[in-house]
Amino acid sequence: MDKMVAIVCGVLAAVACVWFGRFTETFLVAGLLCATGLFLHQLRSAAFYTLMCAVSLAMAVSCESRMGCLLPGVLLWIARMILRDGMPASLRTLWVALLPVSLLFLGSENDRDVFLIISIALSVCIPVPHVPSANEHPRQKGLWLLGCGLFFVMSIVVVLPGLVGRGGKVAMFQGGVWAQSTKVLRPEIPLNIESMYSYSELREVLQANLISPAQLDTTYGEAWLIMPTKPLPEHDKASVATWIRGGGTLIVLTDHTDLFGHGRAVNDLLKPFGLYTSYTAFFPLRQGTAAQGSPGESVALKTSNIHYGTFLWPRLTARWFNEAADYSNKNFFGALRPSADDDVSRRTIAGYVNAGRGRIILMGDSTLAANFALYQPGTIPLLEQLRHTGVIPALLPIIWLAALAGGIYSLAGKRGDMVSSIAILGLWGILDFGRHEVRWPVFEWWSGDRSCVVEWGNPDQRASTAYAVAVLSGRKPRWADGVDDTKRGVWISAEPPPNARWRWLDIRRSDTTELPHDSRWDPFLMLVSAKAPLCWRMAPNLIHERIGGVWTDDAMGDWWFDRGISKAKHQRIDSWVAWLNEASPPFRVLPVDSGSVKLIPYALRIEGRDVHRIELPGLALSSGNEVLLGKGVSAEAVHVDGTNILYGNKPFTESWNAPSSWVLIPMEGGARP
Amino acid sequence: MLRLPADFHSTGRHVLLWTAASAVVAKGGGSLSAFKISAGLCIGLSAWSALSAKDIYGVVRASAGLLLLLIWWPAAHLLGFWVFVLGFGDACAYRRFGWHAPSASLLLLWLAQCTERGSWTAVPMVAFPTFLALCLIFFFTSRRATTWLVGLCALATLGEIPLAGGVTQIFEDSSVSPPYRQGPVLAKIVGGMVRASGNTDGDPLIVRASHADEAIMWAQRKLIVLVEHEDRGSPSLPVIRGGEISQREPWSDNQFFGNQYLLAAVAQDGQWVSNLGGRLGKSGRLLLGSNTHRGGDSIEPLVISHRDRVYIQDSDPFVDRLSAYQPTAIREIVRGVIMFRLVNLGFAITSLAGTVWGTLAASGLFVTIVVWLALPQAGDVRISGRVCWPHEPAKLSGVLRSLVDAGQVMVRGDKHCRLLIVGDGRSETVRPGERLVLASPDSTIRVGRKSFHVDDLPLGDVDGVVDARTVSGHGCVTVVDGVTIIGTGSPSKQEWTKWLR
Repeated sequence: MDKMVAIVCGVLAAVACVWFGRFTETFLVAGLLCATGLFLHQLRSAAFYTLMCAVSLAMAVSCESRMGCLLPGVLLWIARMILRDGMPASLRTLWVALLPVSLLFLGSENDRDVFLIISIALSVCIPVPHVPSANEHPRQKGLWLLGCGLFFVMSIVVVLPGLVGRGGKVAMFQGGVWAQSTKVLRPEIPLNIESMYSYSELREVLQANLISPAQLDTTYGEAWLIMPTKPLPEHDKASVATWIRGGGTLIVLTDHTDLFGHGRAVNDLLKPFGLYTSYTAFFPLRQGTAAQGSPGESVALKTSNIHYGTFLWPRLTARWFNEAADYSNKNFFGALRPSADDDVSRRTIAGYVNAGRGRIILMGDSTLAANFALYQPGTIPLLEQLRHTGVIPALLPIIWLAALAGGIYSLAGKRGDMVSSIAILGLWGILDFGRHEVRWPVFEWWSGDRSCVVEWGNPDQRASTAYAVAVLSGRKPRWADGVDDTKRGVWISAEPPPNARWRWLDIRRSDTTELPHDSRWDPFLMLVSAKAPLCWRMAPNLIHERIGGVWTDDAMGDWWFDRGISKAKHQRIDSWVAWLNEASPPFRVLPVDSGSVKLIPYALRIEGRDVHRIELPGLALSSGNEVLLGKGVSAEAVHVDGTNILYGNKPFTESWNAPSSWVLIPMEGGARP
Repeated sequence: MLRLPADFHSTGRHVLLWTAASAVVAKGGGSLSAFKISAGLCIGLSAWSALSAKDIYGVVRASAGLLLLLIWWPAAHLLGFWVFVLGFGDACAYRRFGWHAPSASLLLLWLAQCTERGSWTAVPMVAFPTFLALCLIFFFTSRRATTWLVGLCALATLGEIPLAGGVTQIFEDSSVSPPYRQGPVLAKIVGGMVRASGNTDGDPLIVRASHADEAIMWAQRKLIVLVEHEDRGSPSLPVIRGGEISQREPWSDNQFFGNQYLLAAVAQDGQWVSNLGGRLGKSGRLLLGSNTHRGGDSIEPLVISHRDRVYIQDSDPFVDRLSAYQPTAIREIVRGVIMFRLVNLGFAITSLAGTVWGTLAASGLFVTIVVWLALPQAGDVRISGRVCWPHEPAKLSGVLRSLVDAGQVMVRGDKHCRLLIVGDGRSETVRPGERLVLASPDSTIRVGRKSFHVDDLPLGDVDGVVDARTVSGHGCVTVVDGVTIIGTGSPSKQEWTKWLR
């Protein structure tokens, strides 16, 4: 019976550790060792403890800790040469194997996390000889238990102050010119990159007040700092630190590659707390691969960075490629291609640490919270989970340490194995508690195929831009899983799913034709627009609408609206918003400028390509005029050095993957490009 | 209580070790995960054997093998070497101390070679069960015969050189832009000469497939033929199949199979430097193959030996721009790398001699190899740090490529260099002759008694330095004792023509 219990406990503990392997491979190593120990200690065989050493080496290898895997093997051999006596030697050998493993993790750059404490605790406690009965070596056992107890009490002292949460208002800091929250998405305000990349929607759902750090007081329980591009002044840093230690929760959103220097500003603020944000880009092998959150959840990110910190408890991790920033490149991106130059390991994207009576929460992808992405599936649930408050989340480290203590205690011969296994499972079970929900303003339920509203995949099979601008209808899009996602499309309703009033957005191609245009512009249009013809639906169906080629991304383009979008694209978005509001879309047809009968030579310069010489109709334009040339391509006349040239860019083209910018320069009259 | 065989420590351990080693040699059947698990088991069980050895000789041999293995960790195929170390150690102990120890380890390596000569389906799917079955058969029959067989197999591999006689000439295709030619950089690596078209002296030649017909017309000669994705087969080049294949990224994670020496060479280089290449037909003898290339069948030949020619599926490893990233494999293909053959020679000596003296002789060889690896090599640029992906746009790894793009004929070395590149966070002392130092952030450079630290605050482009960093707080360019130290976060993006006047 005893053996069966041990076996069952060991298996349960191993299964639990596999789950927790989502967080970090160091956790997995320590957990599997603990489980193996629980399972095998009953066997009382020195050989199997030695086998555990080999297992630890193999796990280090599987963690891809490169040169670090050399150290345990060498030290193990040396240890064996030195220690040549029976049973205690096996245990000491195990200890010697674990100690280098701990050093391995210690040697990682800025990677001093709570799991190091676990490894060291195992290393320190295990050398006690295996005690077959309670009557043998009572003094040693007493000392050992005293050590464990002290360790346990210290841990409680460290985390206990965080048990007392603080309610109240939510603040948002203005940390520079990049992450602003003042530009809003409204129908009456022209769409541009400032409104799409603003954090105004986040501020609205959080009901946050835009204040400066000096204005923080006890009425605020939560504060958000998003990609600060300016370092905080010393007095502001002191205010924030005091407020945190007094019980406040600071949530810091960072992003890849120290963009615009925000990483240095964040590290300057968080250094006293032992936290560090990386200056890297953290990306998966395949685009769209999700990161792992608490058990059972996954989140698809844009491009993030990672965090390190003493006692940083991971909430979102992934095993991706970590690439250093290239400050000589745009947005400080490197090649963004996986290679041996990149570190591959499981890292923490989002995590939290208790600081005094308060808490600091770090999240490595601020783009998720921008207006164009905030309502995408999984984003708000992730933010709600990160900003958890209350007693339970603060107890997480304590419960884990209790499980550890139980495991160690079990090695002394007591029946702590069952306790530790149950504690591990309990830890797993309660991780999802304490979600702090946002307050939704007026919203509309969306459900169905997630791939239709995200930015991955073929642009003619998704409507991510339409989803992003759906806010203009006055109702926020709120995603819910559960409706049939096998059909290609999404369902929209004011009522929660499922219900009979669903309206269906069908991703399939709309059976309409292209708008007429002057075919003399075709040689130019083919160079600056997509190959697929655009569609307009003349008789919309307000219940079931086929949006392929009308409101899918291949017709809407991407959400980077630069300084503004063309009238034609604006009209397309207006029609989309009208459909959302159950109004008949105003499919007004804008006139296409055809130009004069005579063809004149133009020089076409497209960014990143060679110059083309083509003959096109001449246009009588004045500077600032916007013209629609056909196939969704608009242009703006710009007066340069006495010549009216036509300028266009991606937001002026209703297609996908349009050139970033192009210029048409007339060559008539001796004007040369 | 769980009961295991009484002789688990020997029998069970060796069976497990063979199984794991077989999987390693068979490259995990093409599965990287299986390969890594097998490799981990090999290391663990090997370490266990080392710890369990009851005599000092066994410990020394096993430990020496373990250390060599750990040094050569990237050369995954040489795990078979470590397996052999255990094998010959046990064999000697058997002869001397009467152990019941099997020793068929190196048989795995030889069998792998044999299957490479066979049909394509034998690699690697049949290899693993074949190894396992044969090893078990030998284990339960004559162990002494096994050690002799092992030794003979090792001797038989010594003469395997892709192109016997080596290559002395490189055909320079002037229609290709200089960085993509087989030119002076490649000549430095192989120690050969670059020749223009029209040469007819008949020496072995490195040539592109598009010009190979011309070469054949001049004389019957040995060729290394470089295939491109646009090349098609011809009667004189029947091995070229037409089409294109590309590697999965990251290149360093791809696993290969084939000739053990070429595998070790590729592993030492860290990767097979090829992005998009041509396709070879399944004929001749496979020297290097892969099942992680896209665009073709599950098994793709990368290097084939057919009659007097060696066909390479892509010219990339042999162009000036990228050949500096594939030096070991190039040398192995061109003339063979003697160091790898010394390892097998050591196997043969200890297996055939089977005495302690033979063991010591092999140990001496191993020490020689280690010393050889540690010897500094002459070159033009010394790089302190890991050089990995050749297409790295800014950091350390892209330096060699960017130098060639700028028209510099430079190879990597450890001595007699005039250029030093120091990676992030590293500390180096400038050696005599090194006149230009590019130091990355957080690095420390010592010139004589003076020490200079480079900080990590990006400054943009300053004084002609791209992505500049401050050197000891005195600007991004410092000249001391005739040595110019440049602080930069993007060593690959510098204007070499300006700094290497």
